[in-house]
Amino acid sequence: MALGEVVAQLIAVRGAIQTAIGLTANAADEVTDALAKAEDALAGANHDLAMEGLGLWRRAQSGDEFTVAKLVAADEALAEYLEILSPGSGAGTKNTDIAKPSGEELVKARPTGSRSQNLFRTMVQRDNDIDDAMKDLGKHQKFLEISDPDWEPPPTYTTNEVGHRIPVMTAPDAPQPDAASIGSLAVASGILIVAGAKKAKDITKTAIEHWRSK
Amino acid sequence: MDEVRDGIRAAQDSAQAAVAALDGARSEIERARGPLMVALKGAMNPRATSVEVDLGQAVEGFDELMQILRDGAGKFDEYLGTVT
Repeated sequence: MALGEVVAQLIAVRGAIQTAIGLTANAADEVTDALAKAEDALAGANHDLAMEGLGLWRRAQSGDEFTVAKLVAADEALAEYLEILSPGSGAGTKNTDIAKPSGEELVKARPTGSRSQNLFRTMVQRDNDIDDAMKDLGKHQKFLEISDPDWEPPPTYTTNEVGHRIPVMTAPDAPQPDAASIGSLAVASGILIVAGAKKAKDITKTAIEHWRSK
Repeated sequence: MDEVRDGIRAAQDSAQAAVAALDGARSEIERARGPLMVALKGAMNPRATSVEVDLGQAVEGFDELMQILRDGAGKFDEYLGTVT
């Protein structure tokens, strides 16, 4: 296949990936909506089956974010490869349709933007390699596998060792730290923290300690 | 009880919409993977090879997510069966 054909083919693939990113982000918003509706309808009911249903959907919520992360990573890798194949042609331009807010803008966006949208934006603005970020995240998810009967929802923000505020997000009404909400927190805090700093491991640890001390 | 049932049904509709969106996303990626493999054949660049890995994991993610959402909806059906 000629180079021009390869480049054209890869550009088309990027288009498909970006469509899939949009659809997956929409799915994440629908899941968030489904959870909110189910929680409202149940209004504190504590039936096992209902709790299992909520737990599964919370798991889907964090899984959605992971899947978006993989798609974004694929798109960016493809963009970088296209830049090598066809330097300066614009084929390797990173997706400019995706907002890349500063950390401060992200903090401001939190109350109005959906969780998945904020995660998505944050992942785009990250300054280290996504694979490394996810490896770190995997380690911390293991660290977070605890069951604490005195658990309370984590703070909206925590502070890292250099005083930067870090958004921490999870299902706010989760009655217990079940696997899904813990996983969701790990994904949310891990990605957000990694996004804001290169010393991801230390900062994540600080955030987790802060959360545990609440 | 009607309010609970209606609320859960509305939630299930949203979950179903999520499944449809994920199914669409999965189809997009599946369609793209064939041409991608042809275009990347022989590519030695690590960024190029990581694309296929990431997309493969995304497709697995779609399958798992759709199943989890359906399982969750099933749990709510069971729940409604016990309380109505």
